[in-house]
Amino acid sequence: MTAKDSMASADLDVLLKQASDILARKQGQDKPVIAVWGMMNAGKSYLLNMLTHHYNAEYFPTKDTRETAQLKQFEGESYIFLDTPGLDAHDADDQVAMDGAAKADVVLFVHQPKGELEKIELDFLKQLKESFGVYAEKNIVLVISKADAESLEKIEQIEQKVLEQCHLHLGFAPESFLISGTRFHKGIQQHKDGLVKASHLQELKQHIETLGIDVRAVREERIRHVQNTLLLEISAAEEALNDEKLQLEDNLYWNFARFNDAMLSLDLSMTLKKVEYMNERILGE
Amino acid sequence: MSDLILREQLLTSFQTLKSDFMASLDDAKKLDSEFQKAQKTFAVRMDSHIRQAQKRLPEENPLSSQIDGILSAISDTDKAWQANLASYDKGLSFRQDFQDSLLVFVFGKVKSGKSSLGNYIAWGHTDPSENLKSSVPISLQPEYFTAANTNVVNGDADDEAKHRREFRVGATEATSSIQGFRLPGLTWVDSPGLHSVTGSNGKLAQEYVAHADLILYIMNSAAPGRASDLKEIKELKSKGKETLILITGSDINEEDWDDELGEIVTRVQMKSKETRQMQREYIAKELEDIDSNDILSNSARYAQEHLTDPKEMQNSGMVQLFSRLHSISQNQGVQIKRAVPMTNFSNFLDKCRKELQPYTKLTNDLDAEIAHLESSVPKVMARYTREAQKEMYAIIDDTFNSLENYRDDDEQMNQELRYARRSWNDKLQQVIGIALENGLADITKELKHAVDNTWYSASLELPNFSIEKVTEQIPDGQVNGTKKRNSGWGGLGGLVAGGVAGFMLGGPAGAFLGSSLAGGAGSMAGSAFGSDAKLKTKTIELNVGDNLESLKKQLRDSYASVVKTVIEDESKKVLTSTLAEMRTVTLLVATELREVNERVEAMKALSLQKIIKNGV
Repeated sequence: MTAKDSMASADLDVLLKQASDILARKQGQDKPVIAVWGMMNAGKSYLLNMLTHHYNAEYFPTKDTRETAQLKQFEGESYIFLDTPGLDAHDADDQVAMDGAAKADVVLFVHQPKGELEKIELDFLKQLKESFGVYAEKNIVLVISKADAESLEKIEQIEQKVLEQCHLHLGFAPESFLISGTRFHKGIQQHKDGLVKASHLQELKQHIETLGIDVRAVREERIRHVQNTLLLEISAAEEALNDEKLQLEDNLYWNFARFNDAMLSLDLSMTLKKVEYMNERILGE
Repeated sequence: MSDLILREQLLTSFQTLKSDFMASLDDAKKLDSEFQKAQKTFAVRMDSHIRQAQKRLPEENPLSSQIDGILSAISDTDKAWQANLASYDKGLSFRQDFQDSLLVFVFGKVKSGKSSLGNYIAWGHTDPSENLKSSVPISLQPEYFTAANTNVVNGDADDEAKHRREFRVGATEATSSIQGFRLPGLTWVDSPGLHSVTGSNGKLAQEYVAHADLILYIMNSAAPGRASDLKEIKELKSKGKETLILITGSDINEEDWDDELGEIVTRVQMKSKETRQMQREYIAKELEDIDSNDILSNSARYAQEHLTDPKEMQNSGMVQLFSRLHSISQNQGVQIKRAVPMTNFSNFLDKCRKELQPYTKLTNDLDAEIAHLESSVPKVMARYTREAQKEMYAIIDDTFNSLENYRDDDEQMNQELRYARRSWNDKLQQVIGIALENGLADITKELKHAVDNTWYSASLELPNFSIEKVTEQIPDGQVNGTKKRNSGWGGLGGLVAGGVAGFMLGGPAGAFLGSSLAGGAGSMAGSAFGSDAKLKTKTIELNVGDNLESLKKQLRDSYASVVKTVIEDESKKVLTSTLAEMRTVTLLVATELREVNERVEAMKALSLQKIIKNGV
């Protein structure tokens, strides 16, 4: 078999391609990218519609089932808003969502108040935290959506539990907001300030403003993290390839061992015959 | 749908289901008690037959110990068979929770609304207060149980549902154990999820799945059809169980701002028909081959707020769930479940019937073997009779050869004849003894052989029972050893001696004195002999000298006849009649077996009839 067929080398090919993608990534002076991220039906698209003032016609389509399957962005005055597919909606979606998160400078992690964070959410958050490096604590923002779906008491109970989970599993408790998109929507449409205020959406907006996102620094940090990860993975792949090579050499040696033995004994018997022949000739003369 | 029903009606229909289950169990138990009666009667009668037969065995009979061994073996076989029957679990019960009611096994993610729904079914409320619980009549109070606890983080404490008599529906807590409740006719079991259960819990969960009449998969309308849910549903569907997907919490809080109060006012509304339908269609599409009737949108919260409004109850989707549960309670699966004890018992009867077969075969074979042996006794004895007669002829012929010398001397002749008679009589006793000996040896050997054969060929599969034990109890044939021989034919010596004595006094003596045997005086057998052996007497005229040949012939015939009669008589008394006695026992046993078999057959037919009647 050729080296190209081996698992380790296939892995390495993928890794090398990722590495060149990263190196080719534009380090431009873009606007900060704010991405929403979270489980399916968490209310990500609805939240983005509100943040981008799409009150009458949805820019980011919403639905009570899986809807967003691709990344979709809206370029605002100061930010680019990025919608991602919901996690655990469809296996293919999860990778798209991961790609989206990789492009973001700020991630609004949206969790709807059906109990605390699920294990799957925690797992995704851990990955996200890793990729943000030192910016994780600041640039990952927790949004508890659909705050209207339960009583305030329950919502606050859930928030507290979720923050405890973050503290335990991520090592920090992110800034969190209890948001009701529908309250905000209705408040805006019917000019009811009470609802707008109770939606807490303005607080979230203000928080994003105060983050003072240093796009270059965040991206460098994130790229550095990806590079480190890639480097580790490449050397692991290298090691695996090396192991494979040793294994092959070993196999080769053992497979040829009998042949080599046979050749050796043939060689020996030939030499003996030759000696005999020579002797006879000498004696014959 | 015309048969939409409310929770109360559903509970009533489950109560009816429960009484149907109990009635089925009763039927099975009744049949079993009949079976037990039959079994007991059989046991008692068998025991009695065997004991009677053992009692009737004559002590001095050489076959007695053998027959006794066979009887004991039959008795042991019977006891082993009875013990075997007793060791079977007849399955005359419903396994609690699995078989005694309609079993609903609920799957779904943590916080999907499983507990709220469970509480709603149990109490008519998603989060029942103590007041509400105490207002429910005792007969309709759900009984909570916890099967096992998985070590899930944030899991509930052991038996929490049992203590609190409801499922936890707090904002963040999770259900981590298999727990459930029973209402009459309904068992509702909550699973912590197919992939959250491990170890003993996992095994238990699989068992619940196997016995479930309905698997209810719950997804919350807030995030319906998640990839992980769909995967789990596909896995469950592959088990071929009736599955219903429920999209719970299909409601929204409609909020408004109350300017006067300065606060938000909330109203629970069902999600729009279109949204609910869209969610169902999405799931149906993702699952590919699913009947859209197998997906329901509902809201327990909405249902409990509109308890008295039939239209809104229907809108809540809860009524449809109830109707579905009701129709499942009427379906075949539940009917089969209901017939479980009767089916188990019916299967038990099959086993019983199957085991009766080798038992019956054993008895029949044994009977046939003994019958055969019984008929072969005269043949065997005839062979030895001929041998004995030959010996008698030889000694008589020898004597007459030497008598030729005294043809002219009557006195001398008579003297010689007198001596000769003594030795003939000794010989007679000897040859009869040997013939009977050999015949007995042959018969006992064949009897042992017959018994061995039947027990080996019966192929009885009984616990703690070995063929060696049976044959051990049957002593070996009495081929060798004089001690046994003497005891074997206890009465023989005296009998033959008596016969000879009679002959001496009555028959030849008279003949010698008066040169001829006249009238009844020349009787071959004396009275003592005759009365014992029931010999027919006959008058012989002797004309000594002239009629020497004729005398010889008559003597030969007489001795041959004695040999034949005594052997015939004795073997009949000792062997044939004992074997016949044995046969009466085997026939009785065979009759008992036939009777018990008939009763089992009748019960089997009845059990099948009952199972069919139950609608299966």
